[in-house]
Amino acid sequence: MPVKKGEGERILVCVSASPTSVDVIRRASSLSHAIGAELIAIYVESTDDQDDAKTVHDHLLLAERCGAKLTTIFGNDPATAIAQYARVSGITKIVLGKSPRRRSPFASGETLMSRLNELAPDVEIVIVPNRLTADARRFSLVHILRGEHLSFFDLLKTLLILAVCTGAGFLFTRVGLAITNIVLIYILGVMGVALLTTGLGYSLLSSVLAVLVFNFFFTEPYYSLRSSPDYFATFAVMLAAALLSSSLTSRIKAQSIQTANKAYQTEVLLSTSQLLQKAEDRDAILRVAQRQLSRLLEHSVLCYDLSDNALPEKPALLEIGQDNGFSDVPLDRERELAAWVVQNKKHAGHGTRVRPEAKCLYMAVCGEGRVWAVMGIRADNAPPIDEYRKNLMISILDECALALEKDHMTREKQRMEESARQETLRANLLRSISHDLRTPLTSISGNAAILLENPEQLGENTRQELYASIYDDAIWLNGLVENLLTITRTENGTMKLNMQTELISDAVEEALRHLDRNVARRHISAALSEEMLMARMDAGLIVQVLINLINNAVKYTPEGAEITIGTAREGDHALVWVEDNGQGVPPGDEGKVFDMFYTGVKRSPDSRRGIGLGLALCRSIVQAHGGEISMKNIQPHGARFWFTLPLAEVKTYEQ
Amino acid sequence: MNNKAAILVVEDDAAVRNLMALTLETQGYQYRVARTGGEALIEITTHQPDIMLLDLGLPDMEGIEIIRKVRGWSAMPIIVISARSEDSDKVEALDAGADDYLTKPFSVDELLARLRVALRRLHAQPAGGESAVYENGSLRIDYAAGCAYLNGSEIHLTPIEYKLLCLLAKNTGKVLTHNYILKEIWGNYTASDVGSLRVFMAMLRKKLQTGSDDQPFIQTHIGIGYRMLKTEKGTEDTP
Repeated sequence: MPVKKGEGERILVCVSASPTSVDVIRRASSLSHAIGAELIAIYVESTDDQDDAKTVHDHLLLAERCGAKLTTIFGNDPATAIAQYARVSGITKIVLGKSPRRRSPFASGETLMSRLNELAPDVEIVIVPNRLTADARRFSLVHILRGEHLSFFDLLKTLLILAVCTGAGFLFTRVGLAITNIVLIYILGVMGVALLTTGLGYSLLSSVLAVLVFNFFFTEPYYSLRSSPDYFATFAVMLAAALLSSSLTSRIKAQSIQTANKAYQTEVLLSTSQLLQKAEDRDAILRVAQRQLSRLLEHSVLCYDLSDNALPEKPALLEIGQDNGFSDVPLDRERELAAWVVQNKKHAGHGTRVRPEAKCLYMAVCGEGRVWAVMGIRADNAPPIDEYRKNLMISILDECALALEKDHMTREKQRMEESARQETLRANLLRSISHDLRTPLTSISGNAAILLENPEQLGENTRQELYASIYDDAIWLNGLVENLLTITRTENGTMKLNMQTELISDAVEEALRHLDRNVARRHISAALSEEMLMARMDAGLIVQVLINLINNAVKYTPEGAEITIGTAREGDHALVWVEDNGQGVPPGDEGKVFDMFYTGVKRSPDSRRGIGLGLALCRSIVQAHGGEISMKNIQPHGARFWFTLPLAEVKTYEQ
Repeated sequence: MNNKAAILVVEDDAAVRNLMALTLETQGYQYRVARTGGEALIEITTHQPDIMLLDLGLPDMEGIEIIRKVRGWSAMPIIVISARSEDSDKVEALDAGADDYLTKPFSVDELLARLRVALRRLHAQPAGGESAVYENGSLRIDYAAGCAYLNGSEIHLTPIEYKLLCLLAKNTGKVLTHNYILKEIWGNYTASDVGSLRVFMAMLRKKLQTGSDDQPFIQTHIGIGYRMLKTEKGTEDTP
């Protein structure tokens, strides 16, 4: 097949514990370099795998050094698993060694190759010739036993079980049962040993011992290892049966342990995505990922959140009991590693090529070309993380990155919408303001011009009216300017409140001092609470709320109307209300009066006064104080506007 | 009323300056005007005015700076005029030594009322000094005995209330900022004392109520401070 240079080529190299694997990886790497293809190293982990985890780990590391991306998949049939993976991830070439990857006589390297060929016909398969087959076999037998740990307890269990079997055997002979039953008892015992001890060693040992003991006690001549040749067949069959059943049993056991592990880890992964979806903000997402990683790996995990694209000075740690798991880690020094990870978007620290002596493994949570956070996994005081869990870990990190990205996008969208809304608001505001400024200014300049040009033609009364009109318009303009200034403070979201503890009655009195002259034609009374109500407030703003509410009442009531200002305590809030006996607001509009540009009854665009800023402003101010504002119509007629402020507790003490 | 006091108007805006000049002229006050901070300082040193009306936003220097300079050698009443509605500016000016403040736009009546308060303070100073008894309408404080009387009968005050009353009385006509009062009464104070100051002042004001609708002795300037007002029979000073 002609080799296309460049994009699109993806080479999959199959990694195993076999020593030939090194050669295979090197060949695959040089092939990938030669044709400029992406290299992916795959390791198929299966339940009956006897591969030495450390060797596999070393081989995978080698593959990573050669520039391969690592993947581990699961399946008891490597051919199917690899073929599936190749199909899904668009692999163009598979490189594998000729050595039998597994020791089972049913799945030799040749069949793996031919089955792969069958299952993934589109993929080119490259076989690296094997120079080490003989060695590999020996090596693999040796390493089965090498991994075993001698345990006194397991040995005791083995001996005990065999003793019980022997006891049962004596019982059987006493009762007069056939000798075959005793053979079965021993096979049962061997299965028991396989189930109760760890490792294959004890089951093998017990198989041999069982035959010897059986020979010693139950075959003629009794109490001697010599026996008549009749029994040799029995011994052979018994040994074979014992070996087979013990290996089967340990396989079942290993499988169940692995299944339980996988189930737990899958559960962690599933719960991670659920929790990530539920997490409300960036912080929560990172906490979830951190906690889940630490659950999955059973290592302590730290997290640097790059919220403003800068690495924070201190990482976020999870408190587990008293210790956060990092008390003996020089975090200041290891922070450099985290910085390296941010810059290079690669793993660093413990067990990697970058500062492998570090106590933690640092991994980037990245997506869309941007690093969102760095997770540090305490790895120096725990066994190395196996490939499966490493993969899960990477999935969790990827999912965390996705969640962060989503959160970021949502926020960005909200911000854009908000700014668009602000922009419309601002445009509306400007339009309304220019109208509202021009009207009184026209009136002022016009009236003044009349007074300037021909004062003698005007009667004293007319002149007085013009003076009053100029004055009123000027005062009205001042009120508008005051509100506008406050809006610029409140609407851009950076309302800086000058909070002080103040008496609410002081604010009411201050407001009453600053009312329009029109107020004189209404009856205003105050019904203030006897109790001294204190609240933390920006006095200027709260006074403005009151002025706006009272002016609003004045604006929408006829002359002679009653306006009452009251205060009362309501739980831990102070309630302040302004009540009038005018017409109230049109039914259904109660909720809208606090909207910007709401101005009661719809009037022609050129009608005078009021752009409906006042109440909207009241709402932003009260909300910024942590209070509520609302209104309702009252019976028989009129409106009651009220707002609340959280009360401040004041300790008074005499010196 | 003694209108012979010389008033210095420091204001850079011609329209407002003319308005103030016109107002003072119609009321028969003597006045001089200054357009900049530099002019103002020269006027103060050469003509020694009795009262200064000072705009805070001057072209050549901050009004606050003038207050600090003047306060180095003169106790003349200073009324600050500011177009900024931020309380913090007023508080800063008051803490720097100003007596009173006006926010633009102000009415002519307001300006005149403030001037009367300042004048009364001016006249009280040379005569008053550290006299043993303070009298203000129906309110009398006997410093020697440590008692206060309203309409001849003693008011029962807690020690802090009495201290507050004395502090305000000694600065009659001047707006005292919260910070100033806290420093004078409590010495080292914390934020929580601000709330208790409000409570003590509210209680003191309640005890000083004469029952009728008279002008209260102590005026609250929310967000800024308090002021004791001189009340005289029949005269209404409502700044």
